[in-house]
Amino acid sequence: MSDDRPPASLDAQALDLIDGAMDQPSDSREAWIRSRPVSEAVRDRALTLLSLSPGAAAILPTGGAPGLAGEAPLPERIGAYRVTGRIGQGGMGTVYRGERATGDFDHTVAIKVIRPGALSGALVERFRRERQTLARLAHPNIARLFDGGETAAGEPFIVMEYVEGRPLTDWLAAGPSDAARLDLFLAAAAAVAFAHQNLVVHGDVTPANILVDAAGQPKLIDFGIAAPATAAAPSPAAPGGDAGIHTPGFAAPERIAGAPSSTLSDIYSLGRVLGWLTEGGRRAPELSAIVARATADDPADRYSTVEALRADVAAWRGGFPVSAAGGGRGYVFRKFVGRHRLAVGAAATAASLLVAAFGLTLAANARAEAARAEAEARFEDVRALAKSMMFDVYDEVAKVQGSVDARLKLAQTAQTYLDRLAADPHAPFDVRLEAGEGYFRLGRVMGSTGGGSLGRREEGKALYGRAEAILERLHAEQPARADVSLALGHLLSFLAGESLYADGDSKAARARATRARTLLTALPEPSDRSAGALAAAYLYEGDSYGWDNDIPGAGRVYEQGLKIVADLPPALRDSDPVAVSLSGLLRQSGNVYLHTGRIDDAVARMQEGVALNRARLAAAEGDPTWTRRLIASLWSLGDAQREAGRLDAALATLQDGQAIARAMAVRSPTDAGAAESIALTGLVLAQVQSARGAHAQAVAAADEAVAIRRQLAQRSGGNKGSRLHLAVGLKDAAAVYRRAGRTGSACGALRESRTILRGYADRDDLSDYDRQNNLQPVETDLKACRT
Amino acid sequence: MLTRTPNDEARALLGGWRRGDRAARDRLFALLYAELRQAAAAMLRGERHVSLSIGDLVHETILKLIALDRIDWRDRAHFMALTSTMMRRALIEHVRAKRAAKRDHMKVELITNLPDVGNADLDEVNDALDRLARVDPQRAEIVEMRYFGGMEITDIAVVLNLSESTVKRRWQSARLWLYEALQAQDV
Repeated sequence: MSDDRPPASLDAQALDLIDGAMDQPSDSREAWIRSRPVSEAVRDRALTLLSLSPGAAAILPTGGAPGLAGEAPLPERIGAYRVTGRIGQGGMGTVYRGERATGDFDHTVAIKVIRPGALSGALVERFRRERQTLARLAHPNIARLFDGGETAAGEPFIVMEYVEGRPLTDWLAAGPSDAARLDLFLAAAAAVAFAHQNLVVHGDVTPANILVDAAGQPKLIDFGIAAPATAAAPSPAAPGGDAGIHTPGFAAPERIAGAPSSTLSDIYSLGRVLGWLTEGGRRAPELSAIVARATADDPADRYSTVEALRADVAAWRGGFPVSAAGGGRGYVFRKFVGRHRLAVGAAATAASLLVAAFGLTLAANARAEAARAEAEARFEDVRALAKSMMFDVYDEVAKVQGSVDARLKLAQTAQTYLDRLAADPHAPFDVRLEAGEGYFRLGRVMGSTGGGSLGRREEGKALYGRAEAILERLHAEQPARADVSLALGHLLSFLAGESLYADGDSKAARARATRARTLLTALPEPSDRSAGALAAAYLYEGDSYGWDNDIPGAGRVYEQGLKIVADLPPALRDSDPVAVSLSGLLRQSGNVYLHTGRIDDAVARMQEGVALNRARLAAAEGDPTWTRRLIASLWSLGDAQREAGRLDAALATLQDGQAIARAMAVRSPTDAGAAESIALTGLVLAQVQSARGAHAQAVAAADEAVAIRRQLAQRSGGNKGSRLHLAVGLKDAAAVYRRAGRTGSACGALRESRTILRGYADRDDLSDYDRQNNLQPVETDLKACRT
Repeated sequence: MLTRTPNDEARALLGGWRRGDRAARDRLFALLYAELRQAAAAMLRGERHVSLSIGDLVHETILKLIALDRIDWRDRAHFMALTSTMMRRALIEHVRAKRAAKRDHMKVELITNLPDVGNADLDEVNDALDRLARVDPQRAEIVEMRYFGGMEITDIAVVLNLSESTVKRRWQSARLWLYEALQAQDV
C-alpha cells in the first residue's frame, strides 16, 4: 500500500516530487518542479536527480540481472543449432542466440527454450501440432518461425528469426510522433490480421511481444504459443480448456476467466496496445472510442475483425492532418460518389479512395459534435453519404466481375458507420431500420453461402445476428409497419438458406422460412423484393425437407412455390428477385423428379432453368450472380443427364458449366463462390468421365475439386458447411479413384471424409441426410480398405 | 518427493499474502528458499540438465511446491514477485561464490554503452538497493521485481495494489536514484 511507508526523508520527498514531474512532458519537468511549493533542499535534490535522466533511462534493463550475473553455462547446441549467446530470460524460459551448427550458411537465429512447466502438456502437444502452420506464417511483421523440437532433457524449443531490434517500450521512450505510433500499430495489427486469416491466434499480444527492428518496423514474436484459432473445441487432453499464458493488463477478461484465446481476445489485446501507445493527455475522443470498442468487456461488442479495427485507426490517421479544414466535406464526398458511379470499373483503387474520403467525413462529423446545431446537419450528411455508399455504390461495384476485394473495403467502411449508428440508443426509428438493413447487407458481402462473398462465414453470421436483433426489436415495437415486416421477412427468408447450407440446421431453416412466409404474405402490397423473398422462403423450406431426407415433402413445397410465382402479376414474375428464386425452384423440383425416377420430367425442368438463367445473364450483361446461377443450373442438368445415362450430353453440359466457372474465377480469384463452382461441376464431370472409361481425366477432375474444397474449408475458418462440402467431395472423389484402380487414394479420401463426418456425428451435429447419404456409404466403402 | 504438508502450507501462505499479509510472504519465501538450496545443490552435483539456469531452478522450485497447474493471473503476479526476491538472493550468492572461487573481484557488465557508469558489480546493485529500501522500501521492491524478476509494470501493479502509472513513475524515479548511487560507488 502506498500509505504504510516510513516518514519521508529528504530523498523520499524528492523522489515523490519527481514522480509528479514524470506526468509532464519531458521538456517541462524541470519548470514543473521549480513551480512546486516545497523546501529548497527537496527541490534541489529533485533537480539533481532529474538531471541524470539521459543516462539513467538505459540502466537496469527489465530482467537484466540474471543474464548479467554470468550464472548459467550456455548449452553448446540446441537441436541443429550452435548456441552463441544468451539474449534474455523471462517467465517462459530462456532465449539464446544461435547459428546453424552445420555452418553451410550464415544464419543467426533466436532459440527459445521453454521452461519446464511454463506450458501445460496439452499446450506443448498443440504447439507441436501447430508448428507446421506457424512455420508457414511468412509476413514482414512477424518474426518467422523456422524450426522446433525438444532438447535432450525434453524441454520444447522453438527456433525463430533473430530480430535485430529493441523492445517496443524502448522505442516508445524515445518519444516517436503520434503518426509514427499509429503507423507502427497499423503494421503490427496487419500482422495479427494476417495470422488470423491463416487460422493462427497470437494469444499474448503485449508490448513485450512486439520488437521494433532497425528500420523502425514492428516484428511480432511468440505467435501461436497460445491456442490456435481452429481449436474452438477443447482438446481431450485439456478438459478444463487451457488458460495458457497471457499477460495481465493486456489479456481479455474472458481469458482471465480461463477461456481459450480467440481472434476476439487478440483484438482486445491490440486495443490495449493501442491505448498504451497513445497514452497521455492528448488522445482524441475518436481514438479513445476506438480503444474502448476494441477492449469492450463483452467480446460480442468488440470489432469483429482486426481489419475492422485497422480500418478505423487508418481512417482516423488519415483524417488527422486536415483538422484545420472547415465544413463542406459532405458535399465534396457526394461529388466524389457521383463521379465514382460513372467509373466503377477501376473498383479497387476507387474503393480505397472512398475509404479515405469517408474517414475524412467521419472525422469532420465528430469534430462538429462540439457545436450541436451543426452536428445535426452533419449527421444527416454522413448518413446520406454512407447510405449511398451502402446501397448505390455497392450495387454498382457488385456488378463488376472481380470486384470482391473492392466490395470488402466498402463494406468494412460501411460497418464503421453502422456501428456508430447502432450504438446510439436514441436514434430515430428509421435510422435503426437502416442500421438493421445495413448489417443484413454487409453480412451477405462478408460471407453468405450464395457466392459472391469473401467466404468469411463466421463474420457474416455475426452481422446477420445483429441485423436480426435490431429488426426483431423494431417489429415488436411497431408490428404494423410494412417496411419493417418486409425487411424482417426478407432477412428471415435469406437466413433460412443460411441455417441450412452454412449451419446444416434444417429445423431452424424451416422455422425461419415459415415465419418469413407469414410476414411476407401479410404485406398489403407485394413488391418484387417481397415476392422474391417469398419464393425463396418456399425454396429453402423445400430444401429443409430434402435435408431431412423427406423428398416428397420437399417436392410438395417446391410445387407450392412454383404456383405462387405463376400466379404473380407478370411485372413481378419477370422481376429479378423473383427470377432468382424461380431458377432455384425449377432446379430443385427437377431434382425431386430425378429422385423419383421421372428422368425426362427432371431434365425438362432443368432445361427450363438453364434457359431462364441464360436469358437473364444475357440481359444483365455478365452480372456475376446470374453467372453463378447459370453454372448451378448447368451442374444440375448435367447431373440429371448423367443419372439418365446420357453421358455425352452430360459431358457437354458440365464442360460448358465448368468453363464459365473458370472464367469467373480468373476474373475474381478471391471469390469463394467461383472456386466452389469449379469444384461442384468438377466432381460430376469426374463421375461422367469415370463412367465413360476416361479414368485419367476423371482422376484429374476429382483431384482438383478436392483441392479446391480443402482450401475453401481452410479459408472459411473451419466452418461446418465448408467442411461438410469437403467430406462429400472426398466421398465422391473416392468412387472415381476406385474405378480408376487407385485403391490407395480412394481409401485415403474415404478415411479423411469419415474423420470429418464422424466428428460432427459424435457431437450429434450431423443431419439425417448426411448420415444416410454420406457417413453410412463412407463407412461401408471403407470396409473394403485395410485399416 | 515432497509430502503434502509443505505444499499445503505454501498454498495457504500464498493465499495469506494475496490478502495482504506480509508475514505470510516472508514465511513463504523462507520455505521456498530452503527448497531452492537443495535443488541448486543437486544441480551442482550434475543431477540436473545443464541448460537449467538459476532462473529456471527458481521457477521450478516454486511451481513444485505450490503445485499450481493453472496459475490464476493474480497468483501469477505474486508468483513472479516471489521469484524476483529469490532470484536476487540466488544470483548474489552465485556471484559471491564465483568470486570466492576465482579469488578476484569479478565485475559484471551491468550497463552497456554507458562509459560514465561502466561496469558495476551485481553486489553493488544489491547494496544500493538495500540503501534505497531505507529511503523507500516500495521503490526498492519495484526495482527488485523489475530488474531481478523481469516483471512487467502491469504485474508489479497487481502485487503492490497500485495503478500502473504510479508503478511506472516510481520505477523511473528509483532508477534515477540508483543511477546516482552506482556512479558514486564507481568513482
